[in-house]
Amino acid sequence: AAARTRVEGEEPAGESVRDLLFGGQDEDADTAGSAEAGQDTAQAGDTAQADEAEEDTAAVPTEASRRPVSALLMESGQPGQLLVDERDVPILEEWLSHPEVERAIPRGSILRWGIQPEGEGAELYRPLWVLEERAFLRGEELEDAQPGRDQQFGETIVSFDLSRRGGSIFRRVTGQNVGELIAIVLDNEVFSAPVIRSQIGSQGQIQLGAAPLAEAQDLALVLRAGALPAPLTIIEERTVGPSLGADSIRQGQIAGIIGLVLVVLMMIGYYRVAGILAVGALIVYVALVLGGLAAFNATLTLPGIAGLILTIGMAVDANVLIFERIREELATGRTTRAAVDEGFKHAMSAIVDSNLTTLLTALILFQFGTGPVRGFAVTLSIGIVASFFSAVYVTRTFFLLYLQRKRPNEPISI
Amino acid sequence: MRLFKDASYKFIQQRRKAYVVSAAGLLVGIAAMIFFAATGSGWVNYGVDFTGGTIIQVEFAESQTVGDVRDALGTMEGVEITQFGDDTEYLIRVPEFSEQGTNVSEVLSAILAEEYGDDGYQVVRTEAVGPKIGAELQQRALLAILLSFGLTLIYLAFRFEWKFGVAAVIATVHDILIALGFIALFRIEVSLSLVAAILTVIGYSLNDTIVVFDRIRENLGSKGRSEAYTDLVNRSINDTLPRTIMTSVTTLVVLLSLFLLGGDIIRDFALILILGVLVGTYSSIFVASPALLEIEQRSGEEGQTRTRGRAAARA
Repeated sequence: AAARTRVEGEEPAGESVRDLLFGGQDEDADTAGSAEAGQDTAQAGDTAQADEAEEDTAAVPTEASRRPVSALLMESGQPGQLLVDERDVPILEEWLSHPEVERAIPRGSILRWGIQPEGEGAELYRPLWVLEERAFLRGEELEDAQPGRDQQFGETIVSFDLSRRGGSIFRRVTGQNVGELIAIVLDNEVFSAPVIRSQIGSQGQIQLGAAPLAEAQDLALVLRAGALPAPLTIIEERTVGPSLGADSIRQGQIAGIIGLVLVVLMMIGYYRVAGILAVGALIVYVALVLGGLAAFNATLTLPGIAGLILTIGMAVDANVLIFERIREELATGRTTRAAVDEGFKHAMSAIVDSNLTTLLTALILFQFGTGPVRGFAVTLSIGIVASFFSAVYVTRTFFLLYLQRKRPNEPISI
Repeated sequence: MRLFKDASYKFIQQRRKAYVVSAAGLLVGIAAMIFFAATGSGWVNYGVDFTGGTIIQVEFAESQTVGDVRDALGTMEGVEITQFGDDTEYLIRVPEFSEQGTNVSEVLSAILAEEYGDDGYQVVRTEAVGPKIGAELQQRALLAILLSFGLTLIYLAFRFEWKFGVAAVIATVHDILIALGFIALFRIEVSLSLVAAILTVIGYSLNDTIVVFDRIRENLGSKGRSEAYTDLVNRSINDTLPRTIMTSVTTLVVLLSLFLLGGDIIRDFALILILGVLVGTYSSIFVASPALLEIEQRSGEEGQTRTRGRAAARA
């Protein structure tokens, strides 16, 4: 049960806030505004003074009207924290925006809401923290925050790393304030307020006790996200109107298909049966590429299409290399089978070297490129791997199957 | 049927003519770059990807003139309006990405909506790039290209000999310069997509060069008759000619199809690629191989091969 804070005498609403915060006229209004610079920190000093207060004996009907602000504020067990009935939050917010009330809040202190209410059901209370105005540590000094479990006690923790500068500030402040509370403030709301257990340098832990890991993950995420020193701004924007997109796709598809059909015709016309085998291998190649693109969930951009064209060219080229070589070997009088083997063997070095250099280039592009160049690099890489596989294994397999049906020296159609 | 079977063209012997052709092409390109740089419109027509800024491509319901569009846009500074295709489509380009916190693209959209109503126009595409990104992209593109050269050199030096690596890089640089000259001359907008196209060209050219070099390597290694380096290189080119022609033709067929049927945006792209395939094939025969020859001659062993090489070259 929260005790009402002490009020003394009849005072106008503004003054009672000060009383409320600092336990009456005797107290030094500046305990909260101590000399420490840095992150919003709750001082143990504040409303702990109120402990010395007398209990209100009875709630007088007119009290709320006499002290409209302080009537809404309740002391919690924690130093520097007040509780406000969740339903009263909007009213109090209105009050707090009142210039008189603002003036009543002592210089160097500010009030900040906690992010989540405490309590259950009808008894929901939102924390209102009294914090130092100046944060002694800003989010820029935070380099990393990770959730985890404490090794020794199995508690949920968030480990954080500060910059060197942040670390030295933190060391000084925590050294002087062991046992006190630190408020972690994000977007002007107090996310959490752990107790300083010991002096901490640039690496520390926030212990969340028996809280579930999800809470630690949330806190770590908020810490990391909140460390952005600047608001997000759009730095690049590209839009493609719907009609252009649809048009491009359709036209691109038609053009691509016509091109491929022509290539198929050429391969068959020039290499005859071997050409049919090559087309079969190319079909496998296309399936591999489409599968690869789908597997990587790659976005197909215009440069990506260029990459695909290049790799189709390379796939066809690989087959052409092999077939030309086989023709050469046949022309020097080798047996069919030997010619095929030699053809594959000799063509291999050229295929390997050209594919590997292009793959190297694609990897560099992926590393250094952005956006569409990356799309290009991805399709190029997938295409190269697929074309290599298709030309080396698939074509060869088809060829061997074809040879099986022929007698040893029967000429092949190539 | 086999095209160019047993070819024996005198490619290497004719290489000086090729030098002239290459030189002419390069000179025209470089002259264009210098000219345009001097007259203030930049050595190439950088798109907003690199300079930062905003481009909106708008299709209007009714025909407009450049003047109409300019009037509609009022007093925006630095606006550049060009017709794109027929007279209902225009490119509006503003060098800024955002002004006092609002994105220029939004401002332009608002103005267009006001002047033309929702049905009077349609935004075909928008590209807006902040200035820092533009500069960063330039650097990264350049770095990527240089790095890929380096890696290629190392790989080829490892698999072949360093001479091959150097010759391949020379040929590729040649191709890039020709492509850039073309782009500068015809003021083609340099966007990220175009950079990808140039990279494709590099890839194709390298591919082609390596096939020829592989053959040279093989012929060098095989016993057989001793011949002058020059003749050997020439023979290698001739040996791979059927393959070179076939591959180039198949790739060109696909590219021509894209060029003719692929729509506006793909068309520019395909054009560069077509140029790239032609130049890439040309350079494997007339730039990379002669370069290899020259390097070999200048750094090769003393004595017979060299003198024979020289004698053959003069033939």
